Amino acid sequence: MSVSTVEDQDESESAALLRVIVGGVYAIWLREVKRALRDRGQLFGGFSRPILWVIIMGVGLNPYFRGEVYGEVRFVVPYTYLQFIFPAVIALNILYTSVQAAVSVIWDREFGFLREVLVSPMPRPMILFAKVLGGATVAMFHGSMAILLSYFADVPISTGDILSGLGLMFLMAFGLTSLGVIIANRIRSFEGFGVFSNAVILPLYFTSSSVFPLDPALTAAQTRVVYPDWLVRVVELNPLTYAVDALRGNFIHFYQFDPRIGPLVLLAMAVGFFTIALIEFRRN
Amino acid sequence: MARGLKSDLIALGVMVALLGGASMLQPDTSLQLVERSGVLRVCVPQSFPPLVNDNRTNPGFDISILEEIAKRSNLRLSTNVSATMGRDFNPANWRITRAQCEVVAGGVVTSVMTRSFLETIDTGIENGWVMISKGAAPAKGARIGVYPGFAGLDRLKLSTYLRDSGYQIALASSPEAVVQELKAGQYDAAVASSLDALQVVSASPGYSTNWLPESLGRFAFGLGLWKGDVTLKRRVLSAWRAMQQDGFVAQQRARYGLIEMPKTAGL
Amino acid sequence: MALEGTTSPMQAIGVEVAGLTKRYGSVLALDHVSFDVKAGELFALLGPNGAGKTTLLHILCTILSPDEGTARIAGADVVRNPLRARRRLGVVFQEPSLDDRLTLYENLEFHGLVYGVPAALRRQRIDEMLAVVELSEWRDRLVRTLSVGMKRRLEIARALVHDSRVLFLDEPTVGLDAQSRARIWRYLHQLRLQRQLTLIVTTHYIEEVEQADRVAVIDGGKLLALDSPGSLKLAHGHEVLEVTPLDGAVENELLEKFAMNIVRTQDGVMTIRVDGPDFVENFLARYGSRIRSMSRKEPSLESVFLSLTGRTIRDQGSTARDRTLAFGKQGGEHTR
Repeated sequence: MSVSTVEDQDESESAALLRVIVGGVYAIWLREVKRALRDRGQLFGGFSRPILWVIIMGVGLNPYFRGEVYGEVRFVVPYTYLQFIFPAVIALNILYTSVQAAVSVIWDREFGFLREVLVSPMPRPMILFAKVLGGATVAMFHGSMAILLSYFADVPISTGDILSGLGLMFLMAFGLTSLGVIIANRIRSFEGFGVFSNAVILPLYFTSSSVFPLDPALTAAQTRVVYPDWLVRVVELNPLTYAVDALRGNFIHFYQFDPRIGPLVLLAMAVGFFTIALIEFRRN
Repeated sequence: MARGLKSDLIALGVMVALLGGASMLQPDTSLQLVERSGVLRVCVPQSFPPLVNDNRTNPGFDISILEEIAKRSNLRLSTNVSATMGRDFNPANWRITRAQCEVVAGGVVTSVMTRSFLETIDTGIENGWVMISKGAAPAKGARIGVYPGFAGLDRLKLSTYLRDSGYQIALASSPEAVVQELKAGQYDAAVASSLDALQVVSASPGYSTNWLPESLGRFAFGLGLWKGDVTLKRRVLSAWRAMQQDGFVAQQRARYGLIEMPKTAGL
Repeated sequence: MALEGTTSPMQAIGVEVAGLTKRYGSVLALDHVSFDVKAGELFALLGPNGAGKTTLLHILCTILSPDEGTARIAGADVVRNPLRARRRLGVVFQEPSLDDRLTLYENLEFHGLVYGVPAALRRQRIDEMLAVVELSEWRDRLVRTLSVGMKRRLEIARALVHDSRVLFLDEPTVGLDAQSRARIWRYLHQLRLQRQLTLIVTTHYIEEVEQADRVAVIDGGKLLALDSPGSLKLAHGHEVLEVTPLDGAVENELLEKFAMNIVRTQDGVMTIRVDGPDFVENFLARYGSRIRSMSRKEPSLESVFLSLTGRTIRDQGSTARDRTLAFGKQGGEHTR
């Protein structure tokens, strides 16, 4: 049998490094995507969450939010309740999947696969970048699964909406996956993670103005009459509020805040959380 | 690799198919209830020409459209006249409830405000202030007859605008009066809401209409359905689109004198 | 330093370690360790748990950085040029680091991509290596369906998909049956010849150390001895007697009498170093009737290890990490 070899001096260091980076980022990204497709449990979660939120909850609550008397509704937003929560369900799917991608960071660490990558010639920042990129792709894909229910939710979506929506969803997924990695870095024992993820995902979701609007038709002072001050404050402090607002603006063209805030917050989250995750990753 | 990829794609396909299939589920019972009773009920004001006329042979654009929609869905249209509708600008005072009708027509404005209360289907009929004149814009100092009507357009903004343009304003009490005064040469030109203006122009040869600037108020009329009645809305919308396709809508527009007006021509 | 420019494929030195030191707080994990490994050598690292073996290996793999000293892999400095060093080394960790959810081929393809192996060579190498470790027919199976031995073979194949010149193997045969162990060594010897590989191995199995060209014994972060197995046995190996005394009185007497020679007492068996040519005869004459059993052991690397470190080579107990892994293997939340 012949064994082939390539001598390092045949090419320059930088050309070799470039091939390592391009190939490596692709390999790590592809691995994340493949693993996500093979994790039937995760895939089922991405499928069942929109079903439960849009179909079961949406239909169940419809009689409570539908119009009964012209001029009188509980829900003063120019959309049905289902249309209103639809973009938030997309965000919820992204949120869950991003945190699960972070869980895989823990498993890689504990089961040794991380070492396989750490001893490879991939520069450390690129390892993290590829990992987050893969996780974000999967999360964006899970978010898109919810879009498949847009007909049911009566949200008409144009091709342009989908393209710009995918962009926003990717930014959101990138930021949240980075956040998940930051959290995962702080978790040493595994048993606690389930509690932790529920302590992160659901509070973030429910306080992001996802299931109830901070009525934009009313003034700030009046808002505080409708909802207690502390709740309004919490919702306004939650960065996910603006992320959900951006998605809502994109898909049903309804903004609660200045339309420029949402994408800015998404960008800031993506850059900020990734930078923190990177600093921590290099330190370890 | 082939094996892994194939089963991955199958799993993905199954998920997409299941979600797509779930999307076809019926979200509510609104259409089912209407079909069971065989009657589509519509709440309309006494009169809102030319959308709703107090006239059996020409019942109005909205009514004719809805009759056709009902006919195409094997339903019977039943009109429920509300005395307060069209007279009061606050819909809360109309006391229209789900128990009375499934559709609201005859002056439903498809604004964001309305959509907080109703699902709307735009019927492409616009309302706004229109200048009725001979040829180009009337010269400064011209005498303008204004018929404000009941369409809910902003009169204050209009009078400010006319005054700033240097016109003299005379108030007319009815579209007929406007026609008479134009004929008599008392008015150089006239301003009315676009719905009323069509009535005036059709009786005044030589006159044409031009939109006044959109900033003075411009809105679209449509059909209103109760929020949350998605299945019924889909049926009505698909019937409406079919009627647009086969020319029925255009035919009705012509019947009620609802010709298209150039969009850009302001004064 | 002398090697910095010389990139000849006939590299005389595979790994150079000079004055390597690593501290964890106040604990000195490595204390100025220096040695060279020749290219193509089979080099064994021997030491009890916590001796500094793992720390040394991690520094050489560029996972850890040393506090002092230098290390070079085929001429590439692990601190100053880690990316270059990593391209020249292959690592087989003690714990499996394969991705269970990918197929064998996908695992190797991943490795090839991450190491920047060009596409054509990558495919060829993967096929070659799968053939060497006799896993070709399994290439499209998911790794989770493999046995422990097969996984280890796959990891060896993976470490050689790129142009590795130095292969680190951390306990490559631990937990495997004798047959699988023999098989793995067969592959390693074959590959060593084919690729002029330098092999650096840590192992608990003494008979595996015997076949090494040279053995380094490490304890307490220090390099205690470095030589061929034969020379080590000559220099540090002793014949020992394993004695089971009849009762406590005899045991006490022996403890007192042979205080300098007793290597250890465990489960009632005393291990006594044979000291001088007449030692056994004298011992038997004096205590022959008062012991239950006695056996005489030839010098072995185990005795070398014992006399150098005062400890035997044994496994450690379960740690928090092991428990987490066990939790995951039971199918804990969001598992792989």
